[in-house]
Amino acid sequence: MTGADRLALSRPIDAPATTVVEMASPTRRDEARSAMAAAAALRDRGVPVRDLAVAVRDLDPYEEPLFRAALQYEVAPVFWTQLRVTRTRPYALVESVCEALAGNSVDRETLLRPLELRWSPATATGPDPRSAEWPIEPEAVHRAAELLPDGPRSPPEWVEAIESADGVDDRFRRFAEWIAAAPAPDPASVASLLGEAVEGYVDRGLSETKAADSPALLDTETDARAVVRVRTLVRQLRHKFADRLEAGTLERSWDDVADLAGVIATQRPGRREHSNARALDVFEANDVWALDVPYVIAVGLTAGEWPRPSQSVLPPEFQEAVLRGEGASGSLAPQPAWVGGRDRDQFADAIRAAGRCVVVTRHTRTPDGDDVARSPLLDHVDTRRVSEEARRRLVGADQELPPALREIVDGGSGGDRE
Amino acid sequence: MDRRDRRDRRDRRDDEIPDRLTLHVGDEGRLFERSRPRSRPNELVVSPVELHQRNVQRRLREARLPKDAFRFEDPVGVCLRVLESAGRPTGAVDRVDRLSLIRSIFGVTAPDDSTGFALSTGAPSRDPRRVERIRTEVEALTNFHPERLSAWTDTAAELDGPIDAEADAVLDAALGIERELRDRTAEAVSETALLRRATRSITATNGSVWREAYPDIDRLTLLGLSSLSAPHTDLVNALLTATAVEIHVHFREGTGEYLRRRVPGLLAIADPGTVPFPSTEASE
Repeated sequence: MTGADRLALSRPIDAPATTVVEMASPTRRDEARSAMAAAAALRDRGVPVRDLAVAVRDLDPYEEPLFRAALQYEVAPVFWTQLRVTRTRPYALVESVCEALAGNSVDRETLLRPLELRWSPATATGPDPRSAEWPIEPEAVHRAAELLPDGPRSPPEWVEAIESADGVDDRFRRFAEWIAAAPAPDPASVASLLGEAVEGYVDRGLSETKAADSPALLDTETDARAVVRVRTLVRQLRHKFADRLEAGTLERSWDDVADLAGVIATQRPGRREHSNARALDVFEANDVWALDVPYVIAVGLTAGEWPRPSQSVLPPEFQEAVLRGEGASGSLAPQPAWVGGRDRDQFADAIRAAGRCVVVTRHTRTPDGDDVARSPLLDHVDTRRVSEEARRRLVGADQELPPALREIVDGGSGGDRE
Repeated sequence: MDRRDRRDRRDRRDDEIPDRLTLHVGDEGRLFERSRPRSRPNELVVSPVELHQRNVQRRLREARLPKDAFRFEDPVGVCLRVLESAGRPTGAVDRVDRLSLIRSIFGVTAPDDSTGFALSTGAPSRDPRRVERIRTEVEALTNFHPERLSAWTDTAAELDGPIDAEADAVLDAALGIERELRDRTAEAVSETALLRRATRSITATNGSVWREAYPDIDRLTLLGLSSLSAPHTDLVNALLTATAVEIHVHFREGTGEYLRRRVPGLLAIADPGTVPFPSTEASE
């Protein structure tokens, strides 16, 4: 190993000779519209939707604008999103509430778990909606865990135990009473109780995430997205629980509610392939590896987005030493992502996935009106640029396919590679 | 004895790729050539990204090729099966619980921020997400293997101040938090800890747990990698040392040329899966 190998990470990308059409739009929202308008215009010109795929480096900021644009151009999108609801805090809260309610008795850890996940009384039922007492601070929850007795107890017994424990404050009693007062699960009570937990989180838990977040508020955005999904999940839960009770496949227990929530949350769009092949696949770029479709629309080829700056906690000088791998550092596993390696891979694979043509889109300014540069990854390929005029005709009422794309669609008979 | 020799040879020759390991850049079309009807799969197709498995399956389907020869898994799934067949525990703390445990570590034991997780730069070091990032990044580079931990300090020592101290502080913080987490749960600290447990199990049983878990598998293909983490390398290392399975790794186009040249150095580690923490029955 020599340091020169390190240069392999900045060598030209050996891209296949696929036509690359480049389309620049003013803002991110315009870009999303351009991308979806291109998909719709290709479809209207006879390209089957299954022959199209959209690849986005990071779906978080694009999902909403792409979804709106898809509606506008009457495209049904399927977002293969990486947000795993089951790994988010709002979901964990809902699950923990079900578990605290399950069975006749629960142990200390199960009882306190919702509080660790920032359970708060819903504003509508709280005495003081602006109370700074909620959620209970983590230190107090852990202190309570040490002060409360071990072993399983019923909810009313927990209320008593909390009342007689020294140093466990009144907020714990209030929570235990909420648990003790919960009715047996039926579709309505499931929706109202879990709905309350989610809204309590929206009112008080979410602001904790925001307070601890970086200036870009990425975690807050994730948390907020998760809240939206968990709200939907609670609604679905009400209907599915009713269906299953009626079918006799579930019992009226909070255990079964938790299981059902898990089933709903982990249903991935993946099973869609057979049932709805007419929807447009929208992937994160990492997921298009090994895909083989005629047309790929790669979204977000803007500097700072693709490639994205590394989030490593290591000093750059140390990263560089590990990347060079000379001497002792040769046994340390280097992360090419430190210098944009993952972005290179994803860009190369998005291009490789396309059999006939790649449309790359980017935007040229931020919401504040600052200019943003073209992704340096585009320097690795020759692109045919779509003029602003042609782009306007694409997104406008006529939805006219830009000449560069029209040639490709009209030029070949099928969608097969080679 | 024969296997021991193999490893010793590898230790001597740093630039050597073991016989049963083949490295590719891209070229995953090779997989499709091996598609054939079979009563049982003989090839384990492993990719860390779930959708990559689906993409491969979709291409097989579109090319009307049989999937019978392949069994698709992610690395954690493979290790779970190995541990189950070895009768070892498979429970692991998930990320949500881990963050909560990290919060409790600071809440209970470090009210005055004195436990040594403070770093000289960056965001507040008691932010559980940042602490977890430090832990996972060190784990990806070292798999907490003692030889790599020394390599880390040696590498840091070559750098100018204060970078050397900063790199050491990251390492200490990660080891500290991993230790604390191990003390606080009877389960494995993470799914990566299960990977290590399976790695050790394979080595310790001279491959018999692997053969029990996958009696029909003679080839393992690892796909779609943008990096080769130390935990994944060590699993591969254990399989090469203790079993007869053939391993093919397909890197990706943008990073593959670089990564393939780093593999020999990464494999030059004895007793993969070893950690410098006191062993407790529940967590080992």
